[in-house]
Amino acid sequence: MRVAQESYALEMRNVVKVFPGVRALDGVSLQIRAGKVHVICGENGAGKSTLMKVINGTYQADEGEMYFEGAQVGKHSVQDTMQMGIAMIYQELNPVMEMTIAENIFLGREPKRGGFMEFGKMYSDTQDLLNQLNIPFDAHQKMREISIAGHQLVEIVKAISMDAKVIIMDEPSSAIADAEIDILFDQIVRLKEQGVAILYITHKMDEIFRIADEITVIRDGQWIESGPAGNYNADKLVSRMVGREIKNIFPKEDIPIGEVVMEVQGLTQGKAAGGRFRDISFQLHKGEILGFSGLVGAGRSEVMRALFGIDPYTAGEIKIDGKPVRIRNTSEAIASGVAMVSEDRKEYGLVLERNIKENISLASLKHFKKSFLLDDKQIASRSQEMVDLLNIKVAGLDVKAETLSGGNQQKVVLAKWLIGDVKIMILDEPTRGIDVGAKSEIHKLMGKFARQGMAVIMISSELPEILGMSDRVVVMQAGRISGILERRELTQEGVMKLSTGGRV
Amino acid sequence: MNSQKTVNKFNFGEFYGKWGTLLILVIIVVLASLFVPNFIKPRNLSNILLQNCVVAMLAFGATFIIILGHTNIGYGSELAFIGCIACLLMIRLQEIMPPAAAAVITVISAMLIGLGVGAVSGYIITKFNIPAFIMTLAIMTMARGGALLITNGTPVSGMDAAFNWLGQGFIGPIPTSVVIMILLFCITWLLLNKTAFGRHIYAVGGNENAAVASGIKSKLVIKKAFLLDGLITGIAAVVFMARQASGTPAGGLAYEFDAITAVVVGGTSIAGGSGNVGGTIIGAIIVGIINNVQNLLHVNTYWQQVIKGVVILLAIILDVVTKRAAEKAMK
Repeated sequence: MRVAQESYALEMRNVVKVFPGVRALDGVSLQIRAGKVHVICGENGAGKSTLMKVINGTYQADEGEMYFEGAQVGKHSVQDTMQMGIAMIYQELNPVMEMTIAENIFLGREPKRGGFMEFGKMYSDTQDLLNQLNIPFDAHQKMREISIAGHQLVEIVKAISMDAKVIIMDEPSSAIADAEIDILFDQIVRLKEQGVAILYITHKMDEIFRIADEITVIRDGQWIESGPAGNYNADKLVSRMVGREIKNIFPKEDIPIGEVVMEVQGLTQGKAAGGRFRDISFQLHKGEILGFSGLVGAGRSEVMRALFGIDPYTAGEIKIDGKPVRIRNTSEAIASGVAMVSEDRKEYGLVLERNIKENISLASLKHFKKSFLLDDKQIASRSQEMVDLLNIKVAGLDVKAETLSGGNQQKVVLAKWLIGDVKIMILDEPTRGIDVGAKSEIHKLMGKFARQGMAVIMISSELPEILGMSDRVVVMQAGRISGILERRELTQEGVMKLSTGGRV
Repeated sequence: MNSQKTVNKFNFGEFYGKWGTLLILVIIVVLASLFVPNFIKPRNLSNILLQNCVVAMLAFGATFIIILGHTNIGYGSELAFIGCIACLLMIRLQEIMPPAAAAVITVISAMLIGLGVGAVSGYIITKFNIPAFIMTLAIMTMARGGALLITNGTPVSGMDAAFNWLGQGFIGPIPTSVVIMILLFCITWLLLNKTAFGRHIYAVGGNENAAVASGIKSKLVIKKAFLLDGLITGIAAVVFMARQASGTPAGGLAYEFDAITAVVVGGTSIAGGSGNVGGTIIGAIIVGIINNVQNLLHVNTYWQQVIKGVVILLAIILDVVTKRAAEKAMK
């Protein structure tokens, strides 16, 4: 047993990693074959990212062994694993936006001769790689000119340029829309053919079954099981991940649709203001969940940002309860009963270093005034009500928001709006990066909001979520509405076709 | 990840954030009482308080600005500018009306000028998105120039005792300036901890995008903070000049440094989003004691400057290190 009987590209045995107070990894084993895609499944906090960081040397394991191509690897740093040929593509990329693709790929290891940069070699090498991988970019393009999916591809090119034999991808699709995922998956197939082993973390079921050859499930830092992807289906996998059967992933309720709450007519953002959408018209009803689908960059979030007063619109009309309103800033939007939960909850949802009750009360402080001072007792009691209502798991109201898990943070953002008077709740990717259990809780909450007469707009890049939760779906393509579908006419193909302008 | 399990554990970063400043104060006081002759005498202690009133007041305003993630480096010159105008005004007014009335009008005028300076800073910073550092650097130079211009570069004196009472007098057993300082402390503490404005300051400083997405007009919050800062500077300027019974256009040198040091030593993060005036007042006392002890020990004044620089550097490093330790403990 000293040498791995088959030559695995990478093998981990009984890895233990302890953080103060937590056994983040508790005896995890893993065998990864060359030319295969190995998907790691588990809820948020199961230890997936910790495992990846132990492999690539960001963290040192407390116990356990690691073998690379059959040879044991001792203590190792990120630089060591990069040299060996293990590349990691992080969930959130931080490319240098003002630099070109080639400069990003060779960042920190620029080709030099006699102390001077060899720009010619750098650009020609990059272009060769891009051509070889069939990626339609020019090495001279700046990173800010290409999409987020493009950034992922550049990361992959970078990994290849380093001769990576194992590529770790941590939720690479979380930031890109369904259609663009195809580009990513094409590359993964190509990498497999070249004998590269891929270690892939994702939350998305459909992706798992599209690309996985083998699956390992971990839960609460422990190895649960591994096996060929063919042995699994979605229900089985989810139940292994959470340790319980989730019967209905999308608890869509039948709620009577009421009168029109919001009517948007010809909403347009002119060139000078950004020009991200044109001629947007739709109606939103009481008790309705209106899905917004489309590719990333189609302008969905931008429309919502305009409705919420973050970005300007230059033409068109918004009516709320039949009365025309002009929304110039977020406080006017909130005064009209519009609330928005952004896709980026850390940037637009929470003040991370402040505590739970400050975050929950932030948007409605004017309701908590006693003369001109704040009524701390009332803030605390109302916040506690929200924490109970939404089942937010916190040690107390004085805990900083940054200490919560993604799902609980998202609930704090929801609580912030529920504590005030909201008629129209805009949710932009409400379940992105949230584990399966919390996800279905948030879906249930959406049903609850609708039942209470709220109108909900939900942007989602996950088709199953759009199909599962929406009463109607607005599909956007290149800044315009390309179609509005009723629930009974919803199909994946139909939405996809409208998203891509019919050129599927 | 798995944060719930670690919340109740002892966390040095968090502990330091809450009690660190007070701990440092206690340690310094104990050390100074033991090793520095004359330190613990009541006369010396009340001197420390008196000498640092103005710095403390400025530091209260600076706390708001620094929690917002900005900086004002113009306090020293603003003291000179507003203070000299106040002195000149007092001298004119006391000839045509009772000195008490003249003093009241002078103080109100100084407050208005302070508000004006704050309004200009706040407006330009938010309108053109200029870093506050650069804006107040310009103000600093202009204010110093203005102070020298209106006084022709020579100190102004001859103000009535009613004016000087603000810096030298007593209300009962307590010096007037200390009373003013404590009043300002109470007001700023209430504003920061008990009002919506205070919450908005923390939110904008902690995450401006999230604040805006919660319906907070962040630019208005920044403008209000600079107004408050200017108002406090106006009051401090009067106290400053009254204490020395003369309007010195070259006075107040490096006061911005002491004020900012007091804020940082008091545990307010230079990155914005956290801190409190409760820490700032302790920070101001610490800075005062360090200056006082060096004087008692006859440390060369040039060395004193060097040591001051080291102190603020240490405070900032400590802030960053403890924050990092707190983050690490969370993971």
